[in-house]
Amino acid sequence: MINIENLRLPIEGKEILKGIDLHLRPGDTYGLLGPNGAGKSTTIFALLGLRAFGSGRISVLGGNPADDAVFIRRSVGVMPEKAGFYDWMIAPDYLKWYGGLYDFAPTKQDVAKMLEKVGLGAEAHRPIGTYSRGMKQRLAVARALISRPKLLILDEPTNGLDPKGRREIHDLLVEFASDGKAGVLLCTHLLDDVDRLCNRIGIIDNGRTRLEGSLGDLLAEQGGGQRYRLRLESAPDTTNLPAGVAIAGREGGWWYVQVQAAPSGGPSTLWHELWRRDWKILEIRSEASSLEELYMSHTGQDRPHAQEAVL
Amino acid sequence: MNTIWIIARKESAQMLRSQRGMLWLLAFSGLLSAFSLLLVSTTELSLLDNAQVVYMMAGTVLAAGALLAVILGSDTYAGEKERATLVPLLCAPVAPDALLAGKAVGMLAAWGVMFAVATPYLWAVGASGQNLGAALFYLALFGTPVVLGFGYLAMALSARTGSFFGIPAQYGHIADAGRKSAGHRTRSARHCRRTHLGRDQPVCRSAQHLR
Repeated sequence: MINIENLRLPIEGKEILKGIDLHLRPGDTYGLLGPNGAGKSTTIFALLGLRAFGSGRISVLGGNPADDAVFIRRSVGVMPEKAGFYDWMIAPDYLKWYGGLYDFAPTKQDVAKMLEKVGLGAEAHRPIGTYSRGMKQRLAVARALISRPKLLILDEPTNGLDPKGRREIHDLLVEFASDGKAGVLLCTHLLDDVDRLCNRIGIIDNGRTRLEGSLGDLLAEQGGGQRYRLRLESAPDTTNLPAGVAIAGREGGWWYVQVQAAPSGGPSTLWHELWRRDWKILEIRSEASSLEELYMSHTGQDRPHAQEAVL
Repeated sequence: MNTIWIIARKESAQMLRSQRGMLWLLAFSGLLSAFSLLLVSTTELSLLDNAQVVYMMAGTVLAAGALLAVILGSDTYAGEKERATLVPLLCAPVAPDALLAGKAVGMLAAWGVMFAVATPYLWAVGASGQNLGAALFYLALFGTPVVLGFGYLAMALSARTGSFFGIPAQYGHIADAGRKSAGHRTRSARHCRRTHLGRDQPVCRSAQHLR
């Protein structure tokens, strides 16, 4: 659905993107990760045809954004980072109006259903200007979905949402991607979102793709799993460990354990199992996840030269 | 054409339903009320003949229309950018020219609203003479191009200054449309076209497969 090869993009003579590669296939939920100013939003604008690029190749839904921007955008739902709305409108009118720009006239029922989905059903008839930031984020997701796109591009979709709101947005994205034909490009710095939703990731830093591939494969290469720090009452029996758990080290009374795959019942099942094997656990601390380690090891390598893209 | 109409519909609704639009209409009505009152209550001004009074009033309406066009035009891109409503609009499948045309039609609709508000005032000061019909005709005839001209100029400037200050370089297409509409094809626009066409980008196979 999206194929970007060695994309370079200068803005006012300065090369902001210096070699972006991104490959998103139908059914993929792709997490585009990178620090602020890495070039994530500029990449999105380039693939929507809103930025003229210097060199490289971009193909979005089989078309070239330089020539077919309007046709490409007709099949793409976008949630930009800044969710701007006309404050005097009410949400159903706004969604109907915005859907019209896609040559798609949503019915009253479509709009009501969408607002229910994003949890704004009860607030539908208040002017948008009275909405909180989180409510505007939800409406922005509804706006991206209202045209029934083939490809969904979301820039920081869960920013400003409470945990319940985040979970609801996650569920919506999972539902959208569940038919296996649509694609989702998720631009975020929240690794938890990526961990829960994405099957592929790309890490970009300072305008370059540092890493791209299947999340599962990359995590497996990295060592996988999650690391915990445990304080114990007494020295444990390290020879009798449950499957998928390995001792990663010991430091100042703390034991580090690497859990390759979380058990189906969640981490608490694992602690019960360890307790049963005579691990007298007094305290548990979660360490950085493998995804976080992966991210940290591929970003910030040439930070002094990194710059904020002007958007 | 449909997109132009959709954008124009929003622009004209904004005039009638948003707080800013209502404030503008209120200020315009206040101005016309004060001017009408001045014309009928001041002894010296009441000595003016009917044609002078009606055309003076029509001139005021025209000046207010030009002012509205400049305000709306300058708000077109710079204001939308400030309120973060421009990016969602640009992410939708709207061609830059259609966006510009929609905004212009919306501006004409706003001018129509102003014309409707001004008509009773013109009638109040000029109904006793024979000049009301002609004044309304000339106001529509000359007012419409004046509003469009000022509005287009303000829109082009709004788009251009926006891109000049580097903030919305992704709006370069719009700035180009603005420049085109103002009758200019600048070096930057030509450069942009060269950038699109001169590199080794794959040629689009067809637009049909995207539908």
